[in-house]
Amino acid sequence: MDNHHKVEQSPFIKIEGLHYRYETEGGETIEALDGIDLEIRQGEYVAIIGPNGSGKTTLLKHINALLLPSAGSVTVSGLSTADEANFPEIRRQCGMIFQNPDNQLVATTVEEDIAFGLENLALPSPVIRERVAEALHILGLTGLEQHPPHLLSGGEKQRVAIAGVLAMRSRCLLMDEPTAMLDPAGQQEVLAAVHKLNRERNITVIHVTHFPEEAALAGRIVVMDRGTIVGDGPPRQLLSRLSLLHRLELQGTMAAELAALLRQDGFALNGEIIHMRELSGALCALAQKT
Amino acid sequence: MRLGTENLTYIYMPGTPFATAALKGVTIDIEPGSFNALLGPSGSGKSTLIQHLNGLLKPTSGRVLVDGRPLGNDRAELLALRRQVGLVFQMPEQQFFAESVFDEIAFAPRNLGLNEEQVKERVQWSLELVGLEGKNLQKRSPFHLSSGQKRLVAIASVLALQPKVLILDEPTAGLDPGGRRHLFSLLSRLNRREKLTVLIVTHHPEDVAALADQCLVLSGGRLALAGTPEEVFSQGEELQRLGLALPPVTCLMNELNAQGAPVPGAVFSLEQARRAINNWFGRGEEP
Ligand SMILES: Nc1ncnc2c1ncn2[C@@H]1O[C@H](COP(=O)(O)OP(=O)(O)OP(=O)(O)O)[C@@H](O)[C@H]1O
Ligand SMILES: Nc1ncnc2c1ncn2[C@@H]1O[C@H](COP(=O)(O)OP(=O)(O)OP(=O)(O)O)[C@@H](O)[C@H]1O
Ligand SMILES: [Mg+2]
Ligand SMILES: [Mg+2]
Repeated sequence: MDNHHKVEQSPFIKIEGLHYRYETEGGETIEALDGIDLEIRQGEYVAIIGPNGSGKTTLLKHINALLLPSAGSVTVSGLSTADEANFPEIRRQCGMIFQNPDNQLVATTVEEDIAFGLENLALPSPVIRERVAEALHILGLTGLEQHPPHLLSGGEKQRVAIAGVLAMRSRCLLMDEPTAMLDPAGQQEVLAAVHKLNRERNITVIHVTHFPEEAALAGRIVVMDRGTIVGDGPPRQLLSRLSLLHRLELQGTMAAELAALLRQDGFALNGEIIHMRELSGALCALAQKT
Repeated sequence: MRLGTENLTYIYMPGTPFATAALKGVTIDIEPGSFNALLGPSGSGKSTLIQHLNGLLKPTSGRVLVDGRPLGNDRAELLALRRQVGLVFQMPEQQFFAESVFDEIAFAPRNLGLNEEQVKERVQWSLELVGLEGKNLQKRSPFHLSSGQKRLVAIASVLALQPKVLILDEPTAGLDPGGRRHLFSLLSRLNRREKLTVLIVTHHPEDVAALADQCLVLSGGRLALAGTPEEVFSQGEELQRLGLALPPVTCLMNELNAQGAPVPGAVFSLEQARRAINNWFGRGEEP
C-alpha cells in the first residue's frame, strides 16, 4: 500500500532537538527522549518501531501536547506546543488512539461515545449528527449505534475509538500499538480502516507497532533506540536491513527473515523481499529455472 | 499437577438484562508438565476460562478438576491452589498494587514465608528470568513504566511464586520482538527442565505452534477445536471461519503447495520452513 500521492512538501509535524526527562517520585531522572529531530508531512503513513522503553509512547504524547519538551520544540500545523493557547487546536488536529480502547470509551452507547468530543466543541446538533453518521459509516459500525461500547468485541471497541477521533475531523491519527490486543480478524479490520483514511482522505497516520508485518504496510518507518532515532526510510529499505534490526533485537518481516536464512543456504534471492507473496513468487521462479 | 474442567458453564451477571454466557459446557484437560495454547477470537471466553483454573471465578455449572478431584469452596484449598497455579493477567495494571517494582515482585515470596534475604534473591532471580535485571527498575513504580516493561514485571511477579502451573493471558501483547523471543525460550526451558506446566492465551499461532503439546480453540464460549498443533492448524478453513489465522509460514507452505511445490503443510517455524524449502530444492543435507 504505497499511497502517499498527496503528501505535501511543508512539514505538518516538525520536531527539533526534543529532549524529555521523567522525574520519578524517588528523585530519579529518566532521559526518555535524547535529541529527536523529525519532520512528518500531511498525508504520510509513518510506522514507529523500536525496543521496549525506547521512547515511542513518550514521543507520540508530545505530538498532541500530552507531554511538553524538557528541551527542544514540537510544532503541529504551524502551532507550537510551547503555547498553551494552542492545545485545543493541536488536540483537535491530532487524535490519539491508545493501546487499550477501554481507557478512552466513556459513554453508554456507541453513538454518544463518538459524539462526545464533538459536543465538547459545542457544535450545532445537526452537524454533530452528520459527522457521527459519517464516522459510523466509514468505520463499518452502522447498526451498532445504540450498543453499549463496553459490551463490544475488542476490534469493534477499537474502531469506535478511531471513529471518535475521525468525527473530530482530526487530520492526524496518533496510534499507540492499536492492534496489540486484537484477534487476527480485528487486526485486519482496523488496519484496513486506517489505511483507507490515509489513502482516501489524506489523513496523516503515525502508528507505533511491534509487528514488522504492520510496519511493512507504512509509507515510511522510523526506528527508535534509547530515546533517539536510529533509522528512517521506506519499509523495503529498512525491513531488509536485518543487521540494524537484529542489533536492536528487533525483527524484519517473516518473509525477510526467511529469505535471509535461505540466502545463507545459497538460494539466489534478491535483496528486497519483505512480503510473503514476494517470497513465494521468487521461490517458484527459482524452482522453474533449476 | 493436573488441571481440567468438566462441562464448565459460566454466566456473567446472571438474571440481569446483561447476562452473558461466556462459557458453555467446556471440558478440557491440562496434563502435568505439558505446554498448552489457548486460542480463540476476541470475546470467545479465553480469559473467563483461565480464571477458573486458579479459582478466581466459580463455575455457574460444571466443575473445575484439580488432580482429578473437583475443586471445592474451602478457603485453605483455594489458597493452596493459588500457590501452585500462577496467573499473569491480560492487563498488567489489573495485577499491580505495590509502590515499587521490588515490592510487587516480592509479594509472593514474602507470602510464602521467605526471609528478606531470600526474598531479595528471589526478586533478583525473577528479574533475570525476564531479562530486566540490568534495567535498574526495582525502586520505580510499576505503574510508571513503558508498556513492555510493565508486562515483563507482571510476568516476573508471578514467576517469583515458582508455581507448578503457569497461566499467561496474552503475555506478548506490547513486547518487542526480542522480548517475545526471550519469553518463549524461557517458557520452553522452564517447561522442559523444570516440568513447569504452561497454558498460554495468544492471538499469534506462530508463537506457540512449534512448542505446544496441545492447542485449544474457543469460539462463542464453546471448545471448537482441540488437539496437537498439526491437528488444529491443518484445519485452515475452519480457523479462518472463526476469524483466526494460520502461522504465516504455514500460509507460505500452503501457497507454495498450491503452486505445485512438494512441501509439507505442517510447518510452523522459520527453521522448519527453511528445512522444507531446502528439501524441495534437493538440498536436504544442509542446515
Ligand atoms: N510515567 C513515567 N514515569 C517515569 N518513567 C517513565 C514513565 N513512562 C515511561 N517512562 C520511562 O521512559 C522510557 C521510555 O518509555 P516509553 O513508554 O516512551 O517507551 P516505549 O518505546 O513506548 O516502550 P514500549 O514499547 O514498552 O511501550 C522508559 O525507560 C520508561 O521506563
Ligand atoms: N465482567 C464482565 N461482565 C460481563 N460480561 C463480561 C465480563 N467480562 C467478559 N464478559 C463477556 O464475556 C464474554 C467472554 O469474555 P472473555 O473476556 O472471556 O473473552 P476473551 O476470549 O478473553 O476475549 P479477548 O481476546 O478480547 O480478551 C464476552 O462476550 C465478554 O463481553
Ligand atoms: Mg509504549
Ligand atoms: Mg481476554
